[in-house]
Amino acid sequence: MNVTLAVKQYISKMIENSGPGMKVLLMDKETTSIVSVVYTQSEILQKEVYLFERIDSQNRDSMKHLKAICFLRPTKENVEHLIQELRRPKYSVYFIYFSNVISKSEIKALAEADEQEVVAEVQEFYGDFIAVNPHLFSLNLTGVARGRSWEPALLQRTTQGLTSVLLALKKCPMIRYQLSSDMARRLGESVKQIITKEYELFDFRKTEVPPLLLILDRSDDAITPLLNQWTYQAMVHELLGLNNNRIDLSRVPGISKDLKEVVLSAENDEFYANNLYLNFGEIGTNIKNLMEDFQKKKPKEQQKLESISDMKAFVDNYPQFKKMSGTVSKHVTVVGELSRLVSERHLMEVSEVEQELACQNDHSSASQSVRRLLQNPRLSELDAVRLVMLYALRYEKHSSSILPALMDELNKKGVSERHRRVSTPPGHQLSQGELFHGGRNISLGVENVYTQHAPLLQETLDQLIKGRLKDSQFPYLGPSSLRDRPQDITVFIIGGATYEEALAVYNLNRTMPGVRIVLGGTTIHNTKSYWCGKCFPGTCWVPL
Amino acid sequence: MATRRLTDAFLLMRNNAIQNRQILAEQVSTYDPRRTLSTRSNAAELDELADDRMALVSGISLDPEAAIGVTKRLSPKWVDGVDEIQYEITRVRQKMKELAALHDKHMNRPTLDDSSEEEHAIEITTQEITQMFHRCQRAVTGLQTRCGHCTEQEERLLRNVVSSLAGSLQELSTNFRHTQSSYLKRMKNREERSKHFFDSGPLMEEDEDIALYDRGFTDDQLVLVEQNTMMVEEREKEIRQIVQSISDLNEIFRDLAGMVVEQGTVLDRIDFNVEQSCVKTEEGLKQLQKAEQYQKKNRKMLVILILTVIVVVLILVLFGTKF
Repeated sequence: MNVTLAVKQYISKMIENSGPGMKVLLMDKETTSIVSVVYTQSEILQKEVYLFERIDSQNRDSMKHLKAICFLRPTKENVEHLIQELRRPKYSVYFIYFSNVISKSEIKALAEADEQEVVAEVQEFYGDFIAVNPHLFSLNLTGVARGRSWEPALLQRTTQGLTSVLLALKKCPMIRYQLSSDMARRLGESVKQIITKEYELFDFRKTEVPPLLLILDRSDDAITPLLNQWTYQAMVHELLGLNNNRIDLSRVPGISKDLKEVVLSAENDEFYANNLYLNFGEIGTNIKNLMEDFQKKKPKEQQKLESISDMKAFVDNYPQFKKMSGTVSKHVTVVGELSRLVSERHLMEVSEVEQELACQNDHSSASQSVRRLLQNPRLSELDAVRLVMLYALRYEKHSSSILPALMDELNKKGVSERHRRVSTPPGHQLSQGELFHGGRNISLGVENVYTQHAPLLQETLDQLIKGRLKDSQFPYLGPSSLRDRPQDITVFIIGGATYEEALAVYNLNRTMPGVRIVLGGTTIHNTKSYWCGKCFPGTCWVPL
Repeated sequence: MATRRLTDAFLLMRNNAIQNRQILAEQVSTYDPRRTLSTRSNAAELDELADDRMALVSGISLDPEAAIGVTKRLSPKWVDGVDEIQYEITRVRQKMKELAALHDKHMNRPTLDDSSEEEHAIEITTQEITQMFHRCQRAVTGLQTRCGHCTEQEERLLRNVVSSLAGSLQELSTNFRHTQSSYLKRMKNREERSKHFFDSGPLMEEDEDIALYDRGFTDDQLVLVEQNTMMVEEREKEIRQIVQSISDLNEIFRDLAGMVVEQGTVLDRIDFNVEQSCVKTEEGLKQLQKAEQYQKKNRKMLVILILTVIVVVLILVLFGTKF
């Protein structure tokens, strides 16, 4: 169950279907991201796709020696643009692929607009999601909830995205959803409707154990997105922000021009693929080894390549050398920046207290630590509010809760009113007991105090795999239920997943060979985006 | 992965649409526009309608842009260049396979009879491949400059094509160099081994018995030395040629490196490049708008100028007639 591979196969098939000759790829805003995450430009250039355009860009030239491959989402605007394009076609042949189900009436409109008969193929290729990792996908949607119910347009988009994942992986699943969340139920029903409506599409080979779709709600586990992370991918997203595998480093002091924006993609970067899930200490060691390797291979500073063999050896290794040098400088810069941020914001101390708040049960020591940190003038606003939020989530209803005192501290630090209000999550119905199962939030046998926390998802999945997930909390949608233990599980978190949960899923996949799990969410959160989404839906947090 | 083909439904609907258009056109054309009951404006409207529909049906468009489109169907000249280069690249690949086969044969044959035929063949093939590389590289660099009056989008297309061709050439040249170096290594190994066998004879004698024996060689030994020297020279010549070809390729490689986009950087991302082109077209649009404004201002200024001149002339005439 590899979502990256599925999307890559769709795109390869699209290109192959159109035969030889120079081609142009027409996309819209969302499908551009979908394609860019799985295919690099040099790979796609090799397949003779030489030009990439957006369907909504004006003033495109007419180039009749090119064939056009259109990969679009089935929205009204795209159909409109297509109609205009077909009336005055700019390319010789059009192969149209929609990333989801399109209605008959829209096909009719297209057929009527195709006066010059330039369309050769119209197909539906269900790649309507962003494949971040082989077992992780996202829909890049923010602000899906209005209060505790769906924003109607986004419900449709989420349903479409989720069904396209199921079709891409060829799964017709049984659906289980989280009872405490109305949004989960509605999404489940919506997906079920589509499966019933398009039963021919979902008519796959029946396996022994039918696959399972589990729909969860982010608000069930508000702790995980607030914690600081220490594994490479999660840490980069938390501190720098990963956007479709791109990082914006332009604000880093002293950054060189080539590295203003970098790409971290496990597909093309071997070092990254090996270190994605390793923690900060291990990454440091591996980077050191990488640098030493590189120094060995690198010719010593403008060494006069005297003998022919020297020159030969150098040029022989030149492509490797160039690629390696690019990779090394990229990772060294990123890790250097992470390191700088860690020491500047004292993230080690902050993280220790966070983990204490999340996993331990000692109120007095926790409140003391929080207070002590808040009084430290060098603590950043983001971390201060984060700590208070965690405290509030944990100990709000505690008898000797010092929450008001902490709010005062925040006031003293100059945190604005809006942000202080964030610390008191409104209408939080979840009982403390559910979120903090005392000892159970700790992954056992971990010496590292910074990675004690295990996300709630891990426990849920654990129970699910063992067949012990309670029906009362996670009912089935529909009469039938799974009798055996599930083997193919797709988990979707409304409100957004996190990289920490992705790590948990990756470990589960590795340690339990009979089970394959894919995780997805409406987006992938870090503290800022979670915060932003919860309290200022639709607006964007000004980065610190 | 699941897919769904809608092509058949689409083609059916398209045919229906075409038929409907034809039927409508026929209906309109059978309508007599000179009927006295209809008003003139109505007749004119129907005339227009008939014209439009006929145009659609017969495929002749009154739209001037479409006419230009017909003439533009011929692809720009550099596209032929691209096809040629791609053909050359396939030929290079074939030649390299031949060369590898020749190398293997030469290596595995026992070295007793020094037929220079095979070595000659190897030399020729190597030279041919090197020449083809040079040609391809020159063609690729030439492509870039061929686009004389290209639009911005055609330039981008050309750049991508060039980068892709440069990438495949670079890969090929790397492979070529690898085969050459491995061949070189094998030759050198064989050299050393054979030297070991042939040199041990006369040299050892010299060292040990230098004081005792006369240093003149026997006839046999002379012949042996002569053969050995010839062989060594030949081998050296071969090695030198290989090294030369490798250093030739270095130049090509360096030239190509400039045109290839590094993998793994943000320049290799499709969305980044689409964003850049959007920015460029927006800027281009802004420039065009600015130019338009300047033009307008220009025209206004011209009009003002002319009017002033006329006024001045008229005033002069007035004064002229007065006095």
